[in-house]
Amino acid sequence: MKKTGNAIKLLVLCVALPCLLCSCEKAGTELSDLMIIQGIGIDAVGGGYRVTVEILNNEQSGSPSGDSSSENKTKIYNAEGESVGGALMKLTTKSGNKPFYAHNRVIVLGEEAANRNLEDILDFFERNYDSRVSELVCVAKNDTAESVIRANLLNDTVKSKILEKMLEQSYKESLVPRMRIIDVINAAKDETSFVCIPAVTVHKNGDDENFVLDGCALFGRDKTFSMYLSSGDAEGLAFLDNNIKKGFISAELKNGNSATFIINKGKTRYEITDNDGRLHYKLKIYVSCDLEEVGGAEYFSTEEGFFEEIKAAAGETIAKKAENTFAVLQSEHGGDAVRFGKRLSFENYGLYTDLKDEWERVFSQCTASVEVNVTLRRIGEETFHSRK
Amino acid sequence: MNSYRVSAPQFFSLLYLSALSGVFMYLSSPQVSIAKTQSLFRPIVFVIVALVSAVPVFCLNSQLKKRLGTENVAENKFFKVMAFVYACVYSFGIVRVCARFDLFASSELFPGTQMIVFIIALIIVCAVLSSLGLGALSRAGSIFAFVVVAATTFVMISLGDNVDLLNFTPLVFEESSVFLKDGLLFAFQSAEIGTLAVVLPQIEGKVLKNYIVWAVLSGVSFSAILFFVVGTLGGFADTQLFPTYTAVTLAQMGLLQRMDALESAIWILCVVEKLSFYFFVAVECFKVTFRKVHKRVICGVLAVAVCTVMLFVSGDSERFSFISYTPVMIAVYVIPVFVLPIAALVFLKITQHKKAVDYEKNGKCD
Repeated sequence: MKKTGNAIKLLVLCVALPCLLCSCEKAGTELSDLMIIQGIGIDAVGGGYRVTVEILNNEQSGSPSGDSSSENKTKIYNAEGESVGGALMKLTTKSGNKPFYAHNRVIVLGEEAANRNLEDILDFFERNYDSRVSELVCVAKNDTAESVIRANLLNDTVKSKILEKMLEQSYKESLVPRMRIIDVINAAKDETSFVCIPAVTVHKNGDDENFVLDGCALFGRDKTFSMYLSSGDAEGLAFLDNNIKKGFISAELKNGNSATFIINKGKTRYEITDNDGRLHYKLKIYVSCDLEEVGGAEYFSTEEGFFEEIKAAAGETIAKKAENTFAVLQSEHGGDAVRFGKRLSFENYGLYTDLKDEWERVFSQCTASVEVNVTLRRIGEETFHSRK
Repeated sequence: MNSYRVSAPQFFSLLYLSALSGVFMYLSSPQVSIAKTQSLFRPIVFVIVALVSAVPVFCLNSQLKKRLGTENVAENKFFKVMAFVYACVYSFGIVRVCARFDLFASSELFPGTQMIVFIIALIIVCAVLSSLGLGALSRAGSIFAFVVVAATTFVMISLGDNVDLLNFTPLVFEESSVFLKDGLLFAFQSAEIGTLAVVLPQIEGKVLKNYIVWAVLSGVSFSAILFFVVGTLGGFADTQLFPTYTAVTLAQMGLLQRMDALESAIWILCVVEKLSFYFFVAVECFKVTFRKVHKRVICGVLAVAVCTVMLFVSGDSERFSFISYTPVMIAVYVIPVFVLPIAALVFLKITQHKKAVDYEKNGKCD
C-alpha cells in the first residue's frame, strides 16, 4: 500500500515537472517569436537616435518587412526614436517580435552618437533587465554604426559575432582595452579618467567588406568624444595600464634583422614621485616572452651575449610603444586613459584630492620613465647553433 | 532520533543560509555605497553586533531556565503578549523576504514577468515545510549549506579573472560615524538573530560556541562575497539593483557561460530555508498566544495572510519601498533582538523582586 502511495507521488511529481520548464527566458514564448538581437548600432539623428540591429533569423526565412541583406542567419532592422530605448522599442513595429537583448554581443556607437554623452546613451543597457553588462562596446571610426552593422561580409555569418571575436582577441593580444558596458561606466564615473573605446572601420575589398580594428576613441571627462588613437598609439595602452595579456612584439636587432616575440604574461609596477607639484611616474614593466622568429640567427651563434641583445631589443620596443602612447595621451585632446589618477589615489590619497580637480592639466604636465625587464622563457625548437 | 531537539551545528547551518540569502539578494540603497573597499570591513560590524545582540537573548534563556518552566511561560500573560509581538515581527519578516524575492525574481530571473503566482506557490511550499519542524529544517539546512558553499566558491573562483584591484577605492580613513552607520545598516539585515529567543530551548549542544562560530563564519563569507562584488564591478555596483547577482553574471569558466542560472537556483534554496524557518518561528509564537488553535490552522491562516499582503505589495514599487524602508528594517532587527528580551529580563527581575517583598511581608510565596 505504501509502495503504491509512493509511486503515485512520484507520478504526480513527474507530471508536475514539465510545468516548470520555462522555454527561452520569456515564459511561454516560442523562440521564433523572439527578436534575438546579436548586435546593436546606435547613430545620432537630429535630436534623437537611429538604432540598427542584427538579429538571428529564427525561422530561416526572410520576413517581408525585414531587410535580408545577410540572407540566411541574420536579418537587419532599424528604427528611430527620441531615445535609444524608444528607438529599440519601435523595432517591434517592424518585425512583429519582441526584442530580446540577453544574447546581444556588441554595441557599436556611430561617430555622431559618440559626440553625445556616453552615460546617457548607455543608460538603457544599464537599466534593462535582459541586457547583460558584459556586452562589448566599440566606436565606428569616421562612419555610422549602421554601416558597420550592415557591412557586407561573407554570406551566412553573424557579423556581430565576428566583431565580438575581433574585439575579444585584440584585447587578449594586448592591442586594445576591453570595454564592456561595465568598464565604460566605471571609467566614465572615475573622477580623473578618460574613457578609451576600441574603434572599428569597414574596409572595402571588391564587393566584400571586412572589419578592421583601427585604434581607439578617447572620451573626455565630459563623456563626449575627444580624439582617436591610431592602432600604433593604442598598442602602448596595455603596458601603461598594467593590462598586458598575450600578444607579440617585433623588435629590430643591432645587426639590422628583426626578431618576433610572443608575450606570455606581463605586469607593470608604478612608482609615483611628486617633484614640486609635477608628478613623475616611474614604470617598471616585466614581460615574459618566447622567441618566435629571429633574422640572421648565425650572427648569434658566435656571440656571447645574444640573449641579452635579444632581450634588450624587445625591451626597447616595448618602452618605445609605452612612451609613444604616453606622449599622445598628453597631447592637446588627450587625457588620462590609463588610470594614472586612480593609481595616485591609492599611493597618495591626500595629493590626489588636492590635484583631482585640475587633473587634465596635471596629467598633461607629468613625466614618465619606462624600464622594461624582459624574461626570455623559450627560444623555440631551433637552437642558435643551427646554421640556416 | 529526537525530532524535537536539534543539534547546534545543524541549526546554525540553517541560520547561516538565512544570513547568506541577505547578501546574495543585497539590494542597493542610496544611503549606503557598496562600491567601496570599506564595504569589505562592514561584516566586522556585523560580527560585533551579532555577538552583542546575543547577550540579552542568552541571558533571557538562562533566566527562564532558572526561574520558569516552559509551562509557566505559556501561561504567563506577559510572555503571551511578548510571543504575539515576536510572531508579528517574523510574520512581517516573511513579507519582507517574499517582497525582496519577488523583486529579484521579476527583475533578474524572469525579467518583466508578474511573479505573484510563483511567490504564492513559494509561500505555500514554505508553510508546508515549516510544519515538518525545526529538526527537519536544520537537517536540510546542513545539507544545503554544503551545496551553497561549494557552488558559491566555484562561482567566485571563476570570477577571479574579472577582479581588477583598481576597482577598489583607496582605504582612507572614513569618518567613524559613517563607517559605523553603514556597518550597522549592513548588520541589521540579519534579523534572524532574534529567533534565538524562541528556538534556543530546542537546541542542544554547545550553543554559545556554535553561535560565535556562526557569526565569525558569516562575517568572513560576507567579506569574501563583497570582495568579488567590488573587485569585479567597482563603481558600477552602486548602479545595479542587485549587485551580487550582476557580479555573478560575469562569471564563466570554459563552456559554462551562464553561471548566474546555477547560482540563482542555489539562492532559491536559501530563500526557501529562510522563509520556512520564519514560518516556523511565527507559528510557534502564535501558538503560545492562541493555545487552543492547532498549529496547522495557524500556519494556514498565516500563509493566507502573507499571500494577501503580497498581492497588495507585488507590482507596486512604492509599497515595496515602505517594506524595505530603513527605519522599518531597523525596527525588525531591534525589537526581537534587544527590546523584547530586555523587557522580559526586566519583567522577570520585577516579578522576582515582588515575590521577595511579598515573602518578607507575608512570610510565604505566591
